[in-house]
Amino acid sequence: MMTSTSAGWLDSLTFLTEKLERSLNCVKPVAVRPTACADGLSRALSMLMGDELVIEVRAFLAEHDPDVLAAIEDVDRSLIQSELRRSPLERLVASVQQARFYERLAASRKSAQGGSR
Amino acid sequence: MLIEGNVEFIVVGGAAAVLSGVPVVTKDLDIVHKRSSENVERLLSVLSKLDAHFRPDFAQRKLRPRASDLTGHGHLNFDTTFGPLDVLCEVSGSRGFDELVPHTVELSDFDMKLRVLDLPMLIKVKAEANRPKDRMALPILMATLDERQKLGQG
Repeated sequence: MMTSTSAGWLDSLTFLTEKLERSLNCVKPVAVRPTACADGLSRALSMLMGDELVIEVRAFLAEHDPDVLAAIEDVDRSLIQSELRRSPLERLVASVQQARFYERLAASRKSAQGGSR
Repeated sequence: MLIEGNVEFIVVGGAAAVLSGVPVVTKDLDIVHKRSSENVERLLSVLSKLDAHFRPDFAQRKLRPRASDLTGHGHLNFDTTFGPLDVLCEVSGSRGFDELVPHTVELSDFDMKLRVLDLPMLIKVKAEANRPKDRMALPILMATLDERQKLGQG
């Protein structure tokens, strides 16, 4: 259950996301920099390392935890696909909003329980 | 405040998952910091401004972190004026900031740079932790990675 202090982080995240949103609105196209090639190479290497890690994890799960491996196929992908259509910033905002909703829900349930006693 | 304080850190845990597109909700912030003496000093300064103290605080003593805590190997759980903050010296055995950096992505769409643990390493860390809550999270993390790869997002 949410604590009252967690609202502080949520406020902080809301502030951050608003700030990021403002900065995103200011983004302008830039010319390709030489460092962009290095960035691309670094990203490609990172993806290769990532593939290796996931192959390792899949092999580990196949041996030790096949139920978890099987569960991957059962995951409803539609929610993931809609998340991936959002930017990291939008994901953060959505997560904050959901957390706020759960916080309000938990608070209202708590007060309802208190009232019924 | 961590960024403004020039603290070198990596966002891990639930917030890293959210930023990577995993449809989960998180209420706290987990970070792995660089354990150099300069960075630990900067982090201590920010923690002080955040009124960070260890949780749970059974004796109501508001015990504050010391530099030696932040240069160790443990997981430090704090309550702060902004809410729960978990400062992890290492994750999954002996992986500290330097070992994790090659497995991070830098989100720089913003006017500040945020270093976030990438999804493959997040999955590996969760698999190695092997706690019930980590096992529960693995299918959705791996399904998200599948979907990201289909979109060419790695």
